[in-house]
Amino acid sequence: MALFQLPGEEDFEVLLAENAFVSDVQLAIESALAEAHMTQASLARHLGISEARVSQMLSGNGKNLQARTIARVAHALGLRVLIDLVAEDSGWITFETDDSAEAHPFSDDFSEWIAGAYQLDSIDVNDNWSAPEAVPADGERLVAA
Amino acid sequence: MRAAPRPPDGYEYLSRGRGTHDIVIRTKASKELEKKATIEQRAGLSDLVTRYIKDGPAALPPKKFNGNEGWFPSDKAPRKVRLEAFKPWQLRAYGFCREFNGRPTFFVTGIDPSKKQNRADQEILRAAGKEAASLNEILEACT
Repeated sequence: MALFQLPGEEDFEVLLAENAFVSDVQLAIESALAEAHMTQASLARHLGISEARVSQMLSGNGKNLQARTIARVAHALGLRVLIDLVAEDSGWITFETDDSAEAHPFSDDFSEWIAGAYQLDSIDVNDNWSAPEAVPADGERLVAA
Repeated sequence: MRAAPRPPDGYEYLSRGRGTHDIVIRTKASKELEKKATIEQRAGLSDLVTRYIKDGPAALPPKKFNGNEGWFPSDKAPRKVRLEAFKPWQLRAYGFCREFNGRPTFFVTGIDPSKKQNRADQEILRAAGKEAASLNEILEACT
């Protein structure tokens, strides 16, 4: 059982997953703001909303953190949103610079890393690679930071 | 080998040795959470406390953890504690962090499950701060 979950509360884990996702998004936005040296007031101006609304977005249960809003925040920061659906307890959301969408070959480091993640001896990720069906049972992170 | 000290009377371990931080909660606060907090409030708190256990306060969204709710018993007292708060939606869990059994440990001293998000209930905050200061005295006396 999760912390503070009471017996018979089957919905608890669903709510926990929602909260964890909202926290991940809020953390990602806060980190991106700090990295860009952008204040909440400045972000509010870029988005054309009040500073209070930005503050509300970054606190509480994130009811107004809609996908479109997140995309607008990323755009205001010159970033794009990268989402990966991964095994539970291993995922997180990241913002990437807009130009990172440009195609580039995978590095050897990445090849080694992905082979390790799938517990394979070696793998050539540039050669029409597709993921094996089995994913690591131990919830190892499948996405490079 | 001597067994590690247990938390003082009225307190219990919520999590120990699972990450960078341990959590000890006042039994009264734990019961209050069970009786008064909604499932949504507890799920929000669960997310934040789990992150804290794993990686400490830096792993929390800044607006969901207030690292300075005030000094107790006062900012001029020789042995003062800085009250902190987990702030999931419509809930506050007050406490402070100090070393216990050789590990950074967050002691939850009070819960405010009222549905007021913007302003803390000052009476509950003060009670949690007073309890934190008194617990800190007990822990200091044990070291």
